[in-house]
Amino acid sequence: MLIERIDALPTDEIGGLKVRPGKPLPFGVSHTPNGLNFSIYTSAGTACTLVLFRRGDDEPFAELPYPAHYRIGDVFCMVVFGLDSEDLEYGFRIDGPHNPTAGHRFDPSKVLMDPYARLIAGRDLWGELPNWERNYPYRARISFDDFDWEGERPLEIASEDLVIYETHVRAFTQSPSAGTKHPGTYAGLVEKIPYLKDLGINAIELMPIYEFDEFENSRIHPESGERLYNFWGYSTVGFFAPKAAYAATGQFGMQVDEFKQLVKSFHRAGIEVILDVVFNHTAEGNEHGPTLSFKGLDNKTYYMLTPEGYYFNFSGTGNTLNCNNPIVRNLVLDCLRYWASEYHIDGFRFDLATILGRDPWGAPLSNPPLLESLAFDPILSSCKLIAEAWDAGGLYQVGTFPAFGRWGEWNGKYRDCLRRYLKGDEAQVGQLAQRVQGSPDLYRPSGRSPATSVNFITCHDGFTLADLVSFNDKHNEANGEGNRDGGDDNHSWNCGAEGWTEEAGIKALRQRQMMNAMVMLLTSRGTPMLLMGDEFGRSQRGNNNAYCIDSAISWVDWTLLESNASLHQLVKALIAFRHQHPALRVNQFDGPGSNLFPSCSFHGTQPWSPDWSDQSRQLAWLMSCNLPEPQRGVDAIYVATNMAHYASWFHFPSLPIGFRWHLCFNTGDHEQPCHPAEPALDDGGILVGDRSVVVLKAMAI
Amino acid sequence: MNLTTSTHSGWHAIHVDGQVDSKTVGTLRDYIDQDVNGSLPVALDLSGVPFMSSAGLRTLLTLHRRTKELAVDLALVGLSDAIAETMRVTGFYDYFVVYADLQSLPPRS
Amino acid sequence: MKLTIESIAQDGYHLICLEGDVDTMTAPDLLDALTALELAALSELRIEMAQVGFLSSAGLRALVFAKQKMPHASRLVLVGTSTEIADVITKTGLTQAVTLVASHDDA
Repeated sequence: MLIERIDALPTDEIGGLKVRPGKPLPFGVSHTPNGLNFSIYTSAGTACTLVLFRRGDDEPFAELPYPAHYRIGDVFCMVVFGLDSEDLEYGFRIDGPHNPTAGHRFDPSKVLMDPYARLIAGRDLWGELPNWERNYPYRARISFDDFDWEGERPLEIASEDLVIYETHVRAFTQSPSAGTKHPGTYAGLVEKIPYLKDLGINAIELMPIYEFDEFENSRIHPESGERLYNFWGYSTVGFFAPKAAYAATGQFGMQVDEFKQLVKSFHRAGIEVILDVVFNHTAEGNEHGPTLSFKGLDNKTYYMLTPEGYYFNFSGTGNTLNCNNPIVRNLVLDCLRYWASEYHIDGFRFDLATILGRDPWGAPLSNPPLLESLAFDPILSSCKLIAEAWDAGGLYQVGTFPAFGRWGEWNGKYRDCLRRYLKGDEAQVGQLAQRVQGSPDLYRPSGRSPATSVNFITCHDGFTLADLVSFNDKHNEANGEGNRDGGDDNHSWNCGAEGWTEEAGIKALRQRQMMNAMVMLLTSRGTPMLLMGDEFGRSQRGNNNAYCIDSAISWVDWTLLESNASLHQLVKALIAFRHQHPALRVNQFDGPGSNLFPSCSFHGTQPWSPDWSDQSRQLAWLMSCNLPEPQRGVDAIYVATNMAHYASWFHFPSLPIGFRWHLCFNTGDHEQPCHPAEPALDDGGILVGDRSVVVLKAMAI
Repeated sequence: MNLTTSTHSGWHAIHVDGQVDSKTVGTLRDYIDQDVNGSLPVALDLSGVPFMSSAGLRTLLTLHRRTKELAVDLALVGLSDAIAETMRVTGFYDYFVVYADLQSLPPRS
Repeated sequence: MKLTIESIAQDGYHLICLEGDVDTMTAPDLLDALTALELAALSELRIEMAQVGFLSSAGLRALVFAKQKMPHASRLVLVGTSTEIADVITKTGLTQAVTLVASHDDA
């Protein structure tokens, strides 16, 4: 017999609705017997009103001031009965001092969005020009948190076994060439699962999917007249809600189910889902930006402010969230716990993570409480935590990011070294040896392992792989800033001509360089990450900062899958090769090695004698481990890289009787870079062509 | 939203006419709770439904669970392409057996 | 400068006679001629170099490519190579893969 609870009944009536005092937890909206609990906190606000709308109406149908006794500490909480939760949009008005110098910007004429909103309406279609006059543009709604996972759960793949694929939801399938039923959406991404599974990646990292405003800083290009957007999305409106306009069912408000279905579908295909999360700043900008939520709720708590009340700008974008303020820390923790438990998210990559380690006045902390909390949180214990360990304020912490043994890092030094080696710069070989082992110079001193290092050569920020080998300089004219934006230290080389060329020799070299990059990335220890479309030579026409572009420049062109089939086939084969060979995935510095070879050794054209001089453009690495039980035997992979402009004969490290070297990949062979038949080589060595890479494995006869 | 019932080829057919959302879903839910009792397999005819909201989709799932409890078959009939696609994309589709129309239902004695 | 290529099957080896310069423009023709052969089945490939004035890196690539495709016990023999070109071949480590002879009698 269902016992009726006392709190299933109202005690008061306000604004024409039956209410009772609510509970402070959880923050935001929660379902109670017969009612909805609305909880909001504000440390400096003095009064709060709950504002209720019917879906889509401009004016509210009820305003309910919270009575004084409906407050516990700084939290206003109220249960409202008899509401249609599907039809409802809600917001808050907060009254308090308006004293910007003291950090207070309260304005009760504004309706504010619940920072804990789990479903956000009002901007359901991507790129639809907003009604700028609307008083309450981003509207919180009620979500059902009742998805049936049917036993599906986070995959918990070991970090060293991951091959991460960085993707932008809209760019991935917006082009008609993608051939999807739901272009530019979560559903469209799900349609590409067979492709991704076939490619062999096992983790997809999604650029921001928290609700954001693509019209933030939007402007018209002065010459082309095209509209530029906040395309990438590194600016958050709502931390608990998936972007509505990325959902095929966004106009029906079903993005929560659609995104959960996405995670479920990826998990069924054996692919983890990692979210790129942006806690360093919000869409509210600085003192000139809009007041959507935090600014009107508790400005001084949420933002890092100067003593004069201006906004610190360590993110380069207008404001900086005050992440080591205990209240904000709880918001961040609540947010990640919510996504991990409700959406079964496998990991988080933190944009400009260094900001998370600054105190409220911007100084770097040596033991930042937030990073520590995240590292030890029980709900997050199986989640990957990855930091982009630098911020726009000049704090570059690759290798020194406070890790508490849990955090991985985007290794910008790997990117730079590999790019420089690839283009033939001198004095790279010594550093290269560190990078391909997982960067022990950076991570061993703090007791971390190779998987800490997320190795990448390209990511959304910068050139695509095809552009890295086709351009010496950036060409960001499409961004409307006179090509002044975007980084200049790309370490790129155009192979002999800038941009488009008909010259067969240059085109062949570019293909080979892309293949070289992929081979080196996928035979390095650590956690490799690829950029969407690099496996078939996606180009942004030399734009290395396409953050504002929504066009064929930034959209993935799927016709390249056919024209660059040989590159795609190589990458697919390399990924499969990596999954098959544990020697490439050893997650230990100074490991024991195998019965045949040390764990990792370096060679030159002569075995055991690498040329470490500044002039050297050649290095071979040999990685080895014993095969895990119940298999018997040894895994040994030899990778010979030759970035010089001449061919060289590499003598193999000798194998004991009973073993032979077999050829697996040779980028120097434009006809057949992959050798699935793995022919045995009996010459004691191999001729490695100029700017070529060769991969061999040892096998028992 | 209107509900009518009939019998068709041995199936207990529930015909829904009109939008199924939080405002109208109560009628359907009450019917499921009170009148679906396990004697005949159930065919939910949605050919007259132009739109189903999240609440509507969840009520379909409730019906699915109820029929499973009673060990009778459930079929959805006459789903519009738009609703079918919405169901696929939000993960509701795979629970159901779907037929284009009442005529396609396999007869049950 | 143009490049003339003659490709002739001989008894026990295949002969390619070159006349002219192997540079960026003409190297693709050499590559085509080599690709047309059944390299994997050749025990010896001989290239007549006496009339070749210049061999670019693209030309070297073509030779590397050919040798990689041939069986491990095979020979790639260059006949009558000029001193300058022989120098380049030595410097680029190709002497591991090719045999340089002065004339067909020494092959």
